[in-house]
Amino acid sequence: MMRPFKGCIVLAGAALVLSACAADRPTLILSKKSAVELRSMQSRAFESNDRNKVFRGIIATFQDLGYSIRKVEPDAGTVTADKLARLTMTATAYPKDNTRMIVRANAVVKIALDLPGNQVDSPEFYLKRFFEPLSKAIFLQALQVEESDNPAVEKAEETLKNAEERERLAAELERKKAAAEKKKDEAESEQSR
Amino acid sequence: MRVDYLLRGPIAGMAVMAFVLSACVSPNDVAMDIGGPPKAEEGKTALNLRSMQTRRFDTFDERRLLRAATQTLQDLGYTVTESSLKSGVLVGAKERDAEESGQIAGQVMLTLIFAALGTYHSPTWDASQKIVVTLTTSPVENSNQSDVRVSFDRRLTNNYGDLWRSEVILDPSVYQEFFEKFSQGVFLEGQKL
Repeated sequence: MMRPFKGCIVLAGAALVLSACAADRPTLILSKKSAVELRSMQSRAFESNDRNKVFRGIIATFQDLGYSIRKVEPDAGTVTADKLARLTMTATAYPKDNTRMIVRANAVVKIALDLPGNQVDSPEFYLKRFFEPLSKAIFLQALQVEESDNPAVEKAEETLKNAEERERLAAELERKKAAAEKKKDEAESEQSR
Repeated sequence: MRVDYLLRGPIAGMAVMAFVLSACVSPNDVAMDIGGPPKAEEGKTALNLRSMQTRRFDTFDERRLLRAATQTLQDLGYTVTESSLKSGVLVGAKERDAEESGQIAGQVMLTLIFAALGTYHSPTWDASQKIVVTLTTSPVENSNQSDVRVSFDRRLTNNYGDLWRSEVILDPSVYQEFFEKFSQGVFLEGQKL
């Protein structure tokens, strides 16, 4: 009577230990770092207006690092490459103010081939394993991108402002409504008197 | 050679252990590790790897080079998975049998040895492989020449149908063979009436 019970405990224990790292895995685990932080580690500016040169530089860098190219879209300026099926990186190059090219890279790594991917969020990785080799390949210095260089930031700020404005208007409306209600109530109570 | 196969079992076992233990390893460290430039075989440097993978041709006609490369890949049994003339990229892949009787025999023997020792070892071997080839062309500045760089890697699937190993192909004869065929292709195209 006792033995199967003990067995169950051992099994439950084993299941618990084994499931500790495997409970309900999503297909992709995103970074918990803030968008601002990620953007700053993932993007760099290059003093060049030669879109083609930078784009080809990205491709050459990927090949230098042992990636195989999976998808190229020269018009959109995006390249997706993977290294041995475990490390996948997408890089985008877009012009800014006709004097600079902004390059943004995002990497996803699999600890093992059958595990879900993790978004890479180490500044060192993007610097040493992408931007430094890229800047050597195109003979240009990789510059830190300022906040205003990213159209996404401006847009996000704008959206945020709009949302605040909307909220303010809604609050005002609410206040007006409440005031009107109060007036009505007062009028009614006066009438009943 | 035989020792190699005998060793593969324990190494695979250790790999499985490492893999189980690695479930909680930091993805950033893994990315940093995988993302580095490919380590060439002993006694060879990265520069050697690049020179092994690159040839220079007396033409700036990338279209012609890519067309010849497509033909060569098709001759070698690859299917083209991505190509872009604008960015000088061509990617192909082919599936191939990867079973080696030596490896299987080694694994079966190991299973027997482990069984004799009272433990279980599930025999695992390479069943099939997908070879991925990435080819890029780039015009050499201030000349009418172009560089063609090609890199091969393979992803191995085991007898349980899992993708379990991947590696860059570093065997110089693979590259030599490719470039021999490719040079012939470029030549033939040039001779076309």
